[in-house]
Amino acid sequence: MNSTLAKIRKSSANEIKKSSTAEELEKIRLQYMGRKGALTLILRALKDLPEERRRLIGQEANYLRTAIENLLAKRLKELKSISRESVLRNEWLDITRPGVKQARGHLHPITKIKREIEAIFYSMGFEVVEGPELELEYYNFDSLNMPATHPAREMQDTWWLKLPPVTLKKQGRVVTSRLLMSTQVTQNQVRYMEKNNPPFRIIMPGTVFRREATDASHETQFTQMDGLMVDKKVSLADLKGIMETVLRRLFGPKIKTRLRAGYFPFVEPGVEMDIECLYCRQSGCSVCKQSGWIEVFPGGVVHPNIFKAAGYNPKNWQGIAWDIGVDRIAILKYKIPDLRLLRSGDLRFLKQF
Amino acid sequence: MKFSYNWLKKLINLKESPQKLAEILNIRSFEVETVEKVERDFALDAKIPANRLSDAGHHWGMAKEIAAILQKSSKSELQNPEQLSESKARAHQNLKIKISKTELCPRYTAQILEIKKIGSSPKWMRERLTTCGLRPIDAVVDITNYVMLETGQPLHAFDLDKIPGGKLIIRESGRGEELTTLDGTKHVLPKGAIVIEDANRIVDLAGIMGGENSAVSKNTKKILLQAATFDPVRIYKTSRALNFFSAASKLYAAGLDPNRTLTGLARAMELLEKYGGKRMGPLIDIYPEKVAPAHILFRPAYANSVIGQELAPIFYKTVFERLGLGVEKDGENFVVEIPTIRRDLQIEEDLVEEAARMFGYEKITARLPEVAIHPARRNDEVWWEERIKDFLAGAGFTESWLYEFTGDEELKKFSMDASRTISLENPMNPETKYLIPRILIKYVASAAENSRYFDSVKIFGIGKSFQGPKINEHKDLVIVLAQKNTSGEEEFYRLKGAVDELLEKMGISDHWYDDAPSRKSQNANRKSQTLFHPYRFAEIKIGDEKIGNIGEVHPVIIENIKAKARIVAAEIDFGKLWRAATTESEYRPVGKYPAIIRDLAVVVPADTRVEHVLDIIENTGGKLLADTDLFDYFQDEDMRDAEEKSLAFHLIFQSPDRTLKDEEINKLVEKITKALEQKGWELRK
Repeated sequence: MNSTLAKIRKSSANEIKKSSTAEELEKIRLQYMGRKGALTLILRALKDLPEERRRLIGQEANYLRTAIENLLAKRLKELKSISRESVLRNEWLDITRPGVKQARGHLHPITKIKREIEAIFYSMGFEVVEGPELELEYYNFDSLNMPATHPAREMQDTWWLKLPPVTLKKQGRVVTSRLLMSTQVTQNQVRYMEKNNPPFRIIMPGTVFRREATDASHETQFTQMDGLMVDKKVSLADLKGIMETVLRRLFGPKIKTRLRAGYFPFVEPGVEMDIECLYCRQSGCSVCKQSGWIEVFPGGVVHPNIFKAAGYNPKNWQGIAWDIGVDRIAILKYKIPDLRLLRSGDLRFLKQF
Repeated sequence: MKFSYNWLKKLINLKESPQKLAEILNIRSFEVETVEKVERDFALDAKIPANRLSDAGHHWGMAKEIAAILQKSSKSELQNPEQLSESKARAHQNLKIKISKTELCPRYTAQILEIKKIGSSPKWMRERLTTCGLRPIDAVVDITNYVMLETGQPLHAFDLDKIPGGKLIIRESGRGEELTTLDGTKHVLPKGAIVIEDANRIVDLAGIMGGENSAVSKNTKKILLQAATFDPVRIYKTSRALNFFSAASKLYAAGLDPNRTLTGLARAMELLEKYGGKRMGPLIDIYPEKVAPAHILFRPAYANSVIGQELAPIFYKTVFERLGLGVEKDGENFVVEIPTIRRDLQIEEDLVEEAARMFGYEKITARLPEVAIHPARRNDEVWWEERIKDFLAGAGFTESWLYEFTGDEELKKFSMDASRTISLENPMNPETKYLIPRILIKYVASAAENSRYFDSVKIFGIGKSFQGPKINEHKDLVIVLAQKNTSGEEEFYRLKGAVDELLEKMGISDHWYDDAPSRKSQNANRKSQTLFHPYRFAEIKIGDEKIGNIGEVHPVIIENIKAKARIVAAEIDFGKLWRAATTESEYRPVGKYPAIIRDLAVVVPADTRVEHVLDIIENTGGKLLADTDLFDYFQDEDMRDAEEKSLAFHLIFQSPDRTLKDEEINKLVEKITKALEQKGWELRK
């Protein structure tokens, strides 16, 4: 009987090892431990043996049963993992096939640049203020230190509107004002100051209009964003700091800038910040007209006449103001060759952003 | 304004190349737009602001500016203009000059000269004129032009034999007076131009251009050489009114220094005498109200606070002296005397600028302002604008920015008349003659244009529209969807769905679609074409207030604009939209007890509105019917012939406080079924 047990041990171990499916395993189990299984028969025959042998062989047979059960369980686990693996292998995907795209819309490049600039100013506590596009001559020019008889007005070719002039009362005097399409957003400084007291800091995005022949770098309608900060003591050095901060955020920390003299009737002193030409990196090209520099950022210290027009006492406040040509920044950042693409509405262009 | 590099080099000891000089000027003074080689010379084209034309809009002045920057000295080629000896002058009969109002002509300086023969000007002068963009003509004309480029004083030479009568009157023109200027242009003058008249007629449009009738010719024997200053405002207005500008009018319009007329005249006479002219009679000089230099108090401490840099008082003093200003100490401060030629220096801040630019903007240490960290107020309008853009881009629409102008042709295509449009006073072409009265049409036109390249177009934008005569500028949100080869029906519902989701996202839950106006318009005998399809159009409303329109663009308009696709569009008044929006939302508990869902399909006549069916279901369903969803809308060939359609609904039953039993729901569904069948509609099993 002992030799039978040894045979069972050997053959069962062999068969279990060779089995390749769960069904085969089940057959093996029945073959040894089913009702008529080899091991079952031995266990059943124990009762006919003398007590001494019954105890010995019984013990041996029980050990063997446990051993076979363990082997069966182990093999079953192995087989399961093998079959799962093969199922998974059959589910192989070709990851080089293109993904299925979700129909996504696009934000306009001007919106994207505007947001980038606005985010910088939000982080510095600036508020956003908007104004009308159809504007009074008084705000657009007179209030900005550009009286009707001053050639400074020639700097901005204006679309005048066929509308009857409007009469307003400003600083105790009656002003008759024609209507026009705003040539800059700077007049919103005066509009804001008329209603708010300093200290404050604001940015003024908006659409502006110039009567110009259009080409790749001139448009009749474009986007600007002015900034104004009025406090007890703000200076040209602060302005320079703001300008440099904004340009570094927009174009990277290594961008080269220069601050130079500029003339705008609403600031005194007036300055202009240039950045190095991004196309030629200062080796000279047609974009920068061979100068290596591109003007992007006019500004200056608020002219006392602007404070007066807004009803402030210029002795009490100092202000710095600037203007960012949003469209210009957009075409520089995205290397767009023609300003007119921005408002073309062409989806072949818009879908690139 | 063009400057000759060689000429400037004659006036200052310059080592800098033309390009280097341009760069220096760019940083410190004026923008030099181009440096151009002209034969052996270079022309520097500088943009001189109007208020600096008086002192820097000429070579002597530019040389002074450069010298101040480079800390060198400059010379003018005429040393003592005031010492005009009159002894050499030959006798001439008196010329009477009358100025009707002093403000028209603050100073009138002139000299009569005899010219033997007018030849050509010397080569060096012709070269300089050419560099500066002027065409050499003859000695007299060239010298007047040359002296203007040199001293900034415009000069005019009359042929004295053509102004008989021995007198000149300077006065304002009346409306409609006429003059032909020496370039051959005939002008009908506005009221208020400054003119010079002899005994019989107008001979000069003062400050702008001389008259043809008194111009110098090669037969001229005697000239009256005039160097005057005129009222800049009148010159500017006249130039604008006539749209007629000259080199002189640009200088005069900016305002000139009356103390400089003699300098210009003396320099011109010096040159004329060298090339054959002889003075006759006394110098004419009418200057009743002499202009004296102004004085400005300058506080170095204030200047430091504006520049943001600690600069010593002595620095300011040195800079001002280098610029030719007078400086006197007044305690901590200075009193600065401004030469009359510096018309730009009027207030203390102007002096701060002079100091700052001479110090060098590049040397200012940049810093960020030190202020209290008040947080910014949120601008709700802008905030919502950005959220809406993000939502629509996420929903597959592409943002577009379009022009806000239109013309008759475009309006006509959209069946709009120009009665409420605002016209431009000075349009450049017929396509941009008006401000756009309804921005929607720009987006529809753009969608049509894009449908040439794309089968499906989804665009949106937030733009302005303008209407008159009572000015109305308003912002609209426009969403447009175009699809080729469809019936347009599905597109309408896609757009409606997008609007619904957008409004929901904005916390607006009570909007609805009203098609009553379109039904009204079907009956009304309308003269004009509507923009929208009359049977595929609704007004979008919140409560009683209309906030916009949604609909398919009318096929007639589609044809007019040659669109290759059906186009549906929504326009929403942006102001009303963002004011109705809210970010507030409140949690509603999730139902604890399971919901029971039953489906129900009903065949109804094709013109039955879904809303009507829903009303019946919801009114019969009672409060256990928590929600009803249209999940299928179907019409096959047979139904189309029978003018019917099938609607299928999910009915969702749920109770907040107990588990529902099948039997009670069966009863409710039966009740609903009956109610629908009572209408004569067939329930599909």
